[in-house]
Amino acid sequence: MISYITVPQLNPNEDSVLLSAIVKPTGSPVRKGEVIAEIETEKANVELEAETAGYIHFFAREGDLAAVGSVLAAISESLEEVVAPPVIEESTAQAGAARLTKKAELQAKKLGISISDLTLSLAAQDTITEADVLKFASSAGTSTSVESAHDLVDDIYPETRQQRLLLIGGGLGAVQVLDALTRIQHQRATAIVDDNLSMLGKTLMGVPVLGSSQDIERLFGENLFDACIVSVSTSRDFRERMADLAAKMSIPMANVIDSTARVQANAKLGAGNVILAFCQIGSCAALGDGNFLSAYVDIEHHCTIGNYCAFGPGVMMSSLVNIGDKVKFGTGIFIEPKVRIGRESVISSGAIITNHIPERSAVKTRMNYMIKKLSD
Amino acid sequence: MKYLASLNQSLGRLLAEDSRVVVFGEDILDPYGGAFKVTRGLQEQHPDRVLTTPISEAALVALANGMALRGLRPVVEIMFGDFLSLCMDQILNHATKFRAMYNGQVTVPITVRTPMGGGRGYGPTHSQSIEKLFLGVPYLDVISPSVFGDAGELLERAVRRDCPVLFIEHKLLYPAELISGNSDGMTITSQSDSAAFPVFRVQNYETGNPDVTLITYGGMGRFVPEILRHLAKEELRVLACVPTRISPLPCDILTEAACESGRVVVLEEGTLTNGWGAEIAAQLQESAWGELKRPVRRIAAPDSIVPTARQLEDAFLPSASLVEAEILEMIE
Repeated sequence: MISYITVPQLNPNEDSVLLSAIVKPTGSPVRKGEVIAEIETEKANVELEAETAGYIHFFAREGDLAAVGSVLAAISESLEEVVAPPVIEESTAQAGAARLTKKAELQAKKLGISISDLTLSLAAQDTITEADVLKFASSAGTSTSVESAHDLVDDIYPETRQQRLLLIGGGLGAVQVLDALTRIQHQRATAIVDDNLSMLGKTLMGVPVLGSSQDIERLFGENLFDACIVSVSTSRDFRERMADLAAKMSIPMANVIDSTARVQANAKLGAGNVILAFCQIGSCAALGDGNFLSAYVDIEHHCTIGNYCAFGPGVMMSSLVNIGDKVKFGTGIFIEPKVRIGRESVISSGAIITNHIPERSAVKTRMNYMIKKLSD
Repeated sequence: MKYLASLNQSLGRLLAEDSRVVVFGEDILDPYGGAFKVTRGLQEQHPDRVLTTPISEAALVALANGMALRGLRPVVEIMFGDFLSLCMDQILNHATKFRAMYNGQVTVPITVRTPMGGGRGYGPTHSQSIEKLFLGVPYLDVISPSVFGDAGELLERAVRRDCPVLFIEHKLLYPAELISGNSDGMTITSQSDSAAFPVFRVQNYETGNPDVTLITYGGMGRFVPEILRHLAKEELRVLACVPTRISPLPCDILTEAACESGRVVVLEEGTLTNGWGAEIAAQLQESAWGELKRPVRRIAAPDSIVPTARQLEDAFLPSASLVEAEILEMIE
């Protein structure tokens, strides 16, 4: 049995005391209440007494400054006992049970992995990390790519965002939609479906791929989302097909509008539109359903846009333009006022449209530039 | 180098290098050397410019104002920050106003140094952090060194500044070792605010974005290494942002740090309501709306009186474990 003697706080202004004299050197027998040392503060000298009887062992020397609360000496019952200062350990996990880091715990929760399964299978480890959870998930069949899930915590949406969205399509369009969603305060992505089955069980920006387009109704039945959005940008037919499917199953379509886009007064929007960064829908403009607007698309005031059109970045139109259904635009196109573009037309990049375009037309631009090699 | 020694040596250098510098306050002469020993040894070197005064805090600052108007650089020590209430009129209605009222013909380069903070069982009127009463006073700089960087260098910068400066030290930091280089899994860098005062960025990760941004200053900065170490074990990336000039605020730097994680915790030792954290939360709400994933979380002392009993005081003041718990809750 060893009892320890700690340095008392004698003066609230001082964090350490001077061990001015050792009265009973290490190894000496002491009686309870006997003076063993003298300590000194700026304001007082104090005698330190033995609290129990036994043999004294000092851990400091005369003249040392000892911190308040530190162990100055010990008293052992017998001289033979090995006496060392107590080792203060930072609290560690209980032996036998592996401890999950907070990140690992969140990842497990997200992937629906039972923590007891995890700790049982990794019982040999002290700590279970996020990487361990992902490894465990992939071996258990719910495969998740480490790279895509790395930013997990950043992509948990706050619960204050009420509308939960299902993304139909997990490709590059989905990345754009998810990026916009990080800044939209009332929506969050909860699941993705993609017809490429190799994506099943993976995550994209932290959002899990839970099935293919055939699973939409089942997932809706499981109350995993409130509305859906098609995140495939270019295939206008696919966008239309998915919207019809959702309508048949009475699943609402949402509009996803980047926080930097502006929808001006009296503009009308249908449903299922994706409107990315810095777009403008001018006042009194009307946009149908299921359109995909890349960044910097300007639908000027009093324009009318049909359904399921696809706009590349930087399509600029003047006022009173009328665009039919399923028109596809390239990048950087200008459209003069009052022009009408018929349905299912395709307008290539860089075009400047000054006249009406009939239905199902392909508008090509003739590029007029030369490429010359720079002389050295 | 320790916080106390850094401040003490800085005062020594200021006195030696600039004959306009005058240091005065209550009981600051040797052998006592001031209640917290910041002025120890200065009187011997500069007996004519290190002066002890009667107990009259309002008069001390008034004297400093007069000296400053006549071209000196006074450095006043107020023994406990709690007594700054007695100096309020001289600071608010005189020091910060003269330059404008005399149409720029005078400056009032005073520095009022004082220790704030609890943790020593000194009770209700010797343990407070009342600097929030002075935050946002126009034309007053409030500087508060933490354990990061060089406290003494900040003091020199404060004394050489032409505007009135309130220099807030912390009782518990005096024996603390200053942290200047990377250590203990922490990476420390600094940015400069608009008056070239450093804003320290301390992080426990090397790549990627932080999960949480912790904004704090002064005495609470001592918890940063412990919090970062503990949360690194949870694989959580924490960016601590520690300004040294706490008023006016470096809004652009704080906004950038806040947007890196979208989750902001502001930690201060003073009472919660109308505090430093409230102002930061308001500014971030204006500058980073849409980038914040969670509401800004303020951690501060309750709106009450600092208790004397040590156990009660410990429970009253913010602690590292409280901050860690709040951060863990925030990332759920």
